[in-house]
Amino acid sequence: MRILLLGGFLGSGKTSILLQLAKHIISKEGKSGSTTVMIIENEIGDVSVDDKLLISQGLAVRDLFSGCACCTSGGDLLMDIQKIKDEINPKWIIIEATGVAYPRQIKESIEMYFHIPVKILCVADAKRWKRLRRAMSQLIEAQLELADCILLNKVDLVSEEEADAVLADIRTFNENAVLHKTTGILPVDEAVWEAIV
Amino acid sequence: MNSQSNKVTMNSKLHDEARVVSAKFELLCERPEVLKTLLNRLAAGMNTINLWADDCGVIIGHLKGYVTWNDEAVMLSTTGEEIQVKGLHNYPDAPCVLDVGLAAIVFGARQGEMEKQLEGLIATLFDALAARFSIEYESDHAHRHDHAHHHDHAHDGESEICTCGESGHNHGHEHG
Repeated sequence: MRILLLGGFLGSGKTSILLQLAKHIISKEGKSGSTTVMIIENEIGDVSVDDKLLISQGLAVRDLFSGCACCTSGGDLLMDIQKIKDEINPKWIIIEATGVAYPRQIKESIEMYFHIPVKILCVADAKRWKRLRRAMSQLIEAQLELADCILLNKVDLVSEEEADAVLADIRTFNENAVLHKTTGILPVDEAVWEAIV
Repeated sequence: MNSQSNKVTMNSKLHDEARVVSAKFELLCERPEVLKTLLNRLAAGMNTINLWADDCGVIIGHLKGYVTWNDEAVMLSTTGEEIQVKGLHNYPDAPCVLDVGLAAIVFGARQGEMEKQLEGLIATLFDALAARFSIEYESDHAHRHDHAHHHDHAHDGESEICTCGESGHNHGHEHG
């Protein structure tokens, strides 16, 4: 079983990216008797919206409501993973973190408990980058610093120069991550998914 | 005509600096126009909240809504500008129960402000449903308030959802 943590700020397009990624993995792994991808959808509030979209696309989803997996719901997340492992044992678990989550805490607790390396995929919003970077730099930096791959999303909404400037800025937070540009309107290149999975 | 009473539950919490507010309710939909009105009012209300946030320097983390019925689901979302709508393929062709949810995460709002905005959206939405379909509601939230700042469209009918980001005021491509 492999675990991918999908992080990034609110509204950056995590769920749209997740839909494509999950479909890529399922098509790559081929349909088997067991569930290939199990998604854990973490919502900080009491109402989950994104799970409706994922379920409507035929994906297997478990909700983790009313708290953030990096803090208040950390224990619940570990129990959910254990349960999924015992009952389903999918090839992949993808955890969509809340947009206010600090991935480091989630990664460390899963790796400590399950001894499974957790890859982090982070989605950043090219259009809102400047404003968010100014207003909540600590959270943005924490979401990017440990990512293995960072997708700069919504580059279709900014100029190429702006997108490149954002990527350069992102690079100051994380020297090692693989960086890619993505849009909300075109499918992500298969090569990007191959690099991630 | 429909005269059922619909209970709205609302919750709010603070997570670090993020104010997290959510609401949900069920609604009997006896004809497709109920869903059309609901979606239009949700989009208009979300636009109004975007304008409020812009005026007050509040950052919209996200504002999302969903409506589900049978195996169908429609999602609305915004991060402060236009409203995105996903999943609207059909309208119900028989009476059904609509499950409706709203979730907002904002930064920089004073305590109670976002709650008030969401309550205003819901109140305006039910005003429209009451006027057209006699659908009423009750709220479990402590502070009902004057929602006059949520501008009402004068609809005779409902067509497509307006997602242009120009607020709930009347504008060029009004519905109906």
